[in-house]
Formats: sequence, structure tokens, C-alpha cells
Amino acid sequence: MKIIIEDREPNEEDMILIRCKELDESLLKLIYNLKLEKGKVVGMKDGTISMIEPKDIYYFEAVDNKVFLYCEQKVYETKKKLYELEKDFYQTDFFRASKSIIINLSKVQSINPAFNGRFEAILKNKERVIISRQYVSDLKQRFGL
Amino acid sequence: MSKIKSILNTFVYVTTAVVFATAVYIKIFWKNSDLSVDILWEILSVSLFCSFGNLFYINKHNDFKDSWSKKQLVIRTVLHYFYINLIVIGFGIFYEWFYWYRIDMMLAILVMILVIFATIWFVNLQRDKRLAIQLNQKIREYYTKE
Repeated sequence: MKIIIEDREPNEEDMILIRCKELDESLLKLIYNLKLEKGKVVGMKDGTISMIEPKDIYYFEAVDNKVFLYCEQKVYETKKKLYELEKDFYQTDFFRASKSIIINLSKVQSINPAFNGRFEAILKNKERVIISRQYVSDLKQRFGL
Repeated sequence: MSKIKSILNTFVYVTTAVVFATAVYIKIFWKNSDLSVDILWEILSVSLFCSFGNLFYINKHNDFKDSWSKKQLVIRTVLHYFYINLIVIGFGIFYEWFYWYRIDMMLAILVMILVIFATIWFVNLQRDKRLAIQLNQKIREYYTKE
């Protein structure tokens, strides 16, 4: 793979152009990671504001009209709505697992069947998150099953 | 739409199981009888009402609720099971498939309901287990390369 870096015109926007015969898995991953890099999330905890890297986020959860983002051990509140986060992280590792949860699939250790058609995702920090039966088909589609 | 799809999906499973159970039941208790075409509509109607049992898992906002605890789901499954018994026995007496005063018939029906309920539950569980294996493999392939 050749990498070419060119100067741009002053009034032009920074651009990454991918020329390929077909979009294979490695190129798709590259695109996902590029998308993730640009979108840090603002999180609030104990009155302080932090910029959270998406790769450090395990999942988002909406509770009582508030949205929280869960990192390995810390929890932050974000002002963004769940549907906005879903849109921001469209076609990345983030996956809408239920009406109130968006999971970072790269933080999933394993998936087990739960009761009544649901699945349970066990995350790398040992937390367990439910994948709704309604969203299981989306997950299958994402992995080409 | 997902509720309708879920009910239809269950309807297919239940109809298949009920037809099989009916064949066994008729062979044991009604082997010398002539049956009319009405039996087919009776089976379909019982299967349809049994499929509505999926509504036990829908919350007041009209969605399948996934944040119920395991205990709540177990309770709902037990209620679902009793609902199925009510439907089958109620319709069975109405359609004169069996007589409530015949202990052998009633016992056979109760055992069949239990076997069908458990079989459908088991088939669904095995399907989910197979899917979980595939999903885990895909996750390992995707993310262990990082």
C-alpha cells in the first residue's frame, strides 16, 4: 500500500482519499478508526469536564433522560442524546444494543444467550450489558451472519 | 411490527408442534373416529391464541422490555405457561377434544403442553447458543488483530 501526502490549497479542507479496487476488511477498519479519532466526547464528572477518547468508552447508557458514558472504571455524564451519539458513531465500532444502550464492540469480551431471545455482552471490564432481541438482527448483519 | 413478527414466528413453531401432538393424541384416544376438516381450523385457532402469549413480555409502553431482571422474566414465563394451559384446555373442552372428567385425557394434554412448551424453549435456546458462538468468533476475528 502506498501512502502519499500532498499539500492542500489554503481554502481547502483536510481530506483523506482512499483509492482501492475493493473495500476489504482492513480498509474498513482503517476508515472506522479515522472516524473515531476525530470525535472525542465531552464528559462531566464531579463538576469537571473531560474530553474522552471514543476508544476508551465501553458503552453509553440513557437513564432518566440523562446519558452516561462508561469507561473502564469511571462514569461520566454527557449532554448528547443517545440518538445523536448513534449518528456520530455510525459505521464505527459502536453498536446500538437496545433502546437505552450503545456498546463499543471492541470492548466486548464475549456474548452469551440470555433469557427470552436476548443476549448478554460481557465487556472487558467484566460488566454485563443486555443486547435486546430487536437489535440482534442488526448485530448479525454487521458481522455478515 | 416486531411484535407482529414475533407472534407470527411463534405461531409457526406452535402450529407445527400442535399438529404433531394432535396426531399422537388422536392415535391414542380417538383412533377409530372420523374427523372433519374443522379440526384443522381448531388447531389453527388454538395456535394463534397460544402465540399471543408473547404479549406477556411486552411492557406498558408497548415494547418488548429488555431491562427486566431474570426473576421478572421467570415469573412472566411461568404466567405464560399457565396461559397456554388455560387456552389449550379451555378450547379443548369447547371443541370436545377431551372431557374434563377423564383423568387420562387431561393428564395426557397437560404432559403434551409441557413437552411442547419445553421443546420450543429448548429449540430457541440452542439456536441462540449457536448464534452466540458465531458472534464470539466474529468478535475474536475482528478485534484480536488490534
